[in-house]
Amino acid sequence: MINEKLDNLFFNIKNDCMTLIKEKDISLEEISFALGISSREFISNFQARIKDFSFYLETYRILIEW
Amino acid sequence: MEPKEKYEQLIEEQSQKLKRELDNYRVMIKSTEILSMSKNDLRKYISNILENQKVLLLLFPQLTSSLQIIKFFWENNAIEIEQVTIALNNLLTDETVKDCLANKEKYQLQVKKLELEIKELDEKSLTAKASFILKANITDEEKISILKELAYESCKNATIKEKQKNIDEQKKELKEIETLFPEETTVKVNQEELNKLKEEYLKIKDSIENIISKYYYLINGKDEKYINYNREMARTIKAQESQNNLNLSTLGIDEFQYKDISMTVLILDMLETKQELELQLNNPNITLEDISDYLNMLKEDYDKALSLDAILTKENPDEEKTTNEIYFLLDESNSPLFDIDKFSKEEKKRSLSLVEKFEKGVHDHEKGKKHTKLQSRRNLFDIYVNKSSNMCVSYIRAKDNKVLILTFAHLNDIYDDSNSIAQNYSSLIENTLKNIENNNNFFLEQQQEFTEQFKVMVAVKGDEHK
Repeated sequence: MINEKLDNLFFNIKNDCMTLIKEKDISLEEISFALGISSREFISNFQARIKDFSFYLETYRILIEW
Repeated sequence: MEPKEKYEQLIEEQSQKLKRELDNYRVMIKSTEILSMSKNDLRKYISNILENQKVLLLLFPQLTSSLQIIKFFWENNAIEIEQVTIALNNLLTDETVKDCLANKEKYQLQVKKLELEIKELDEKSLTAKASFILKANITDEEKISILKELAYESCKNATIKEKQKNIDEQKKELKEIETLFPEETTVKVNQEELNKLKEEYLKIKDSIENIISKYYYLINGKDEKYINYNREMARTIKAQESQNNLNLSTLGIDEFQYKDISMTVLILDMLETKQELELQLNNPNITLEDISDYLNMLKEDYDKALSLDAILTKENPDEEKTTNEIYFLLDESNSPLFDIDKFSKEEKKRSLSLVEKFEKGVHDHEKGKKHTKLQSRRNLFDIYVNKSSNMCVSYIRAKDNKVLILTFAHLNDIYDDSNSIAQNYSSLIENTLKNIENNNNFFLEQQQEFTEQFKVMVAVKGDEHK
């Protein structure tokens, strides 16, 4: 139940983030640096939902304020 | 072979073995029944024996000749003849047959036992499965891998069962509670209790408002969608916590790495709860339970916000810039954990300017670029990152604004490199930090020597450094 809800939320935030990255033409290196992780980790975090959901909200926040 | 497959193969083998034994006993019991039938009806008796002679011969091959005689006279309608009587007698006085007849009850018990064992093989209990595996004729390694697999499966199933059990129990409890409290129309609230709660709230109201305004910037004027996402996430995670869910696939809000998000959620929550509580306090139709619940939720959030506040303010110390001493992390052979020769001319230049940045006391993290800090829960140290174009340096900040450089690397590699250093060399780092604090002479000499080497390594001919 919880997992499904979070998966749905992850799916929505992911789409929004991808749209913003495309629109604002942000490089993965730059956004992952701003998040304090490698771009490899950034990519894998978006391939499958990680335990720490704050990552997605922080990413979204940085992207909308970019 | 996968442990699960191996387990299933073992179960199947055991099942077949038990079934074979079961069949054997059943056959023996059947034979005893045949032979111990009443001889009052001779025709019936003999006819029965002959019908089952295959089985009898399997068990008692020594009776072949006797049975042949009986069969011959039976086919010739002469069963009353004396030879038949003698043959029948031979059947019943045969030693093996006599044994069999005597043990009939034993066999019946064995059958029951075997039937139970076969049933147990299908048993879902983890203890039954585990003891079966422990007795099985396989290597210890195989035993361990199968037991691990079984335990894992069992945990998965247990949580599903637990969930359903909890939901059922909760429903039951709710029903019971409802019957205890029939519809109450106008119940006067205990004024004294209410005043106590109001007082409690007023005590903490100011502090709560303070912390809310301190962090109000986290939500003020923020994108509506962003705020809603925060609310949705918080709601879902809290629902998990309230179910006492054993499923640990998500972190709790106070375990988040990105602490700003935790604080954002807490602020949003406190605002909502505070509003609701104040409404309730002015509502003539209140219940003490509701007020007490809201107050408790508010207090919980406030406590979490306080601890978070402590962590967040620690991250941005207003340190006086006393010294700007720079140290390098060196191993036992006085070598750094990075290889400066791998870098290009440009990159070496950048590395030098990163060091010069330290000499000027510049830290990217302080410029408000909040995530120029390694985000890894497993680190014992706070590791920061400074950047110059595409080159980065990771470092630890020691007292008096001293800096311990861990490594230089490209933007893309700095996090992984620094994380592995932090994990694999944590004792080296600890010792070095101690040496820095103690101003150990030998250590200082080593550092000076290396610093000069470093400057030589990164100096590129014909270039001017600003």
